[in-house]
Amino acid sequence: MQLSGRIVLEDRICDGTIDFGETIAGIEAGAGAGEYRGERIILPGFIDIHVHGGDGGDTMDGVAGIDRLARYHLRHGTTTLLPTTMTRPWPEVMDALRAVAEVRSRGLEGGPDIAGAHLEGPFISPQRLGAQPPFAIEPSLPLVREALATEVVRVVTIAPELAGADAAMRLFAQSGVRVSAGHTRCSFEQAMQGFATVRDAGGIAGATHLFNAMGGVEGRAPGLVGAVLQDRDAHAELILDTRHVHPANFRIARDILGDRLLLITDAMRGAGLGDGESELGGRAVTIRDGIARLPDGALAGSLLTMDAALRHAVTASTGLAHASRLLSGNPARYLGLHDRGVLRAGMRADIVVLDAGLQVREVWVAGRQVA
Amino acid sequence: MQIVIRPDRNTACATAASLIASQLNTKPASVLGLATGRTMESVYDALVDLHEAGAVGFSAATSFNLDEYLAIAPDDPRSYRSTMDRLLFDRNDIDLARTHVPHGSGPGSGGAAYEALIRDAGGIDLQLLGIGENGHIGFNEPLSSFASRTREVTLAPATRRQNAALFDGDEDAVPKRAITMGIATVLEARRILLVVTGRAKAGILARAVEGPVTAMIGATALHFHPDCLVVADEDAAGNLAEREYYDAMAAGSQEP
Repeated sequence: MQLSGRIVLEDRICDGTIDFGETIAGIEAGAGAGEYRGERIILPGFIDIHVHGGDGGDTMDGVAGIDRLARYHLRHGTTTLLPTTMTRPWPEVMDALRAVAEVRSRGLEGGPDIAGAHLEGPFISPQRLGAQPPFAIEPSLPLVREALATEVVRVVTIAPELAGADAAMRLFAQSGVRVSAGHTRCSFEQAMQGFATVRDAGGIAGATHLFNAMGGVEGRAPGLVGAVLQDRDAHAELILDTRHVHPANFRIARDILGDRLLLITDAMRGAGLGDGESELGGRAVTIRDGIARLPDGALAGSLLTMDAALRHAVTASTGLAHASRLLSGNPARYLGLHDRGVLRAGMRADIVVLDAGLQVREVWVAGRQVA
Repeated sequence: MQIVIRPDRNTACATAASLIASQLNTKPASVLGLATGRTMESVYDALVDLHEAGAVGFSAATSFNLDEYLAIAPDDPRSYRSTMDRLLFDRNDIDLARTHVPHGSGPGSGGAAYEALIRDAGGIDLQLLGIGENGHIGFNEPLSSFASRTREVTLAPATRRQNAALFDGDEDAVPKRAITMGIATVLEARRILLVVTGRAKAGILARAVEGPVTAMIGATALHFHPDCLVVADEDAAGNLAEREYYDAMAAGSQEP
């Protein structure tokens, strides 16, 4: 197959033609691109490492819900994703992990690649639940081992200040799981200690939806945000839906973290369904004017898609090549998926084609057109 | 020089807008050279559409307009400053303090000051141009030196006739003097994008692109620029003789 247009490479943009089968054979600058003149923009497929739901489906629903949310986000350019669990009673969480494992091993015909699961909770602070329901528990090693036994957990969100968190983070990190601090009241010192634990165990540390469900930066208390911003290795997820994070905070994170920043959707079941009633973690959610809220008014996950996150990054004056790294290259590197995230010869042909308005026109997964 | 011909005015202006968006998406802190005129109104409409669709941001950009009437206050609705605010600057997220329109009086006025501002901003990355029916770019009327810099000029009668619409059709109300970037100033931009639409421009476009280089037609100076793209609609391209070659060039995206 060949696609011509404006091709977004890791560090620059060029007009040209991309030649691919299941993997990319080559990219030729200049050839045949004239008629498109920026009206067809070709990027690597988006990689969403934190997504609960969409189009009525939720990871906690099991196989059918995962299938549904995955196909919805595929239409918005996501070619790799980590279905993300909610803080629910432990048996339900385990059921959800097993469902993700089943979908991953079976594969989604004509769908995106399910690269594993993001275990968000229940190892979080009961005082920083955000929209998570109150089933937070301490991360005992037997539970960690049970989760690891599914061999599907790729990212875990954990509050570093919890009793037992240190041992749990070490075990997750040793098992190749990315350990992301989040839904936490941890201090700067606790955060740095957590990062060190993860690093010493050979892992990569991060922060879950930076700025949300954590304390802020204060004069004498930099908190988790300060820890992430001044660390040299820690990564951070960010929800760029214009509701969860102020654009100025996005620019700060973008300019300081560089390629350690990853955009996520954190989308919930109601994404793509419009205004109305929905559900998150067993609780009623009302969606009005494009915002999902719990009855108490708290934000209940996002209705974001990755292509919309790209547009928000671009309108915040992030160059397109840079924005593409936030959505594809950085998450691929964070997860250790070295076969994708960048348009380059030899990489998987996971490709999104956008029009001049940055709306999704085509989606290709491993060289096959799926949307 | 490369020529891309689009079926109609809207498509041509959308192409121009997407090229400007591409420039900003490649370098958000780009310095844009901007122009006024009826074709530009459509280009700016298309650019605002792209901004509202989330496809381009202006918050880090800087702009320099080509020209401005003299003896008209910037806040007069007929000034190019007011026109630019209305057409573009008030409709996107550009920082107004980083938008520049030359002016002839008051602090920071005059050609040398304007040139210094452009220089201090790092030079123009992409210069958007229209063409007058007499072939001018900016207000560089016939016989403007190819070495001209930003300066005050006397408008040609043809230009004042052409622009009378903005002055309720009253040609005498059109100012006689203006300040404009010079041709040499324009040629210093890293890239140039000339957008031409409408049957009324077919004759001058053919002379500008295919005729001999002459100071009588300021736009012929664009042949001395290494990266100049002309986007025209079918109406404006109607008198071009080498159409077949231009289409082949566009299809292959090859520079001559």
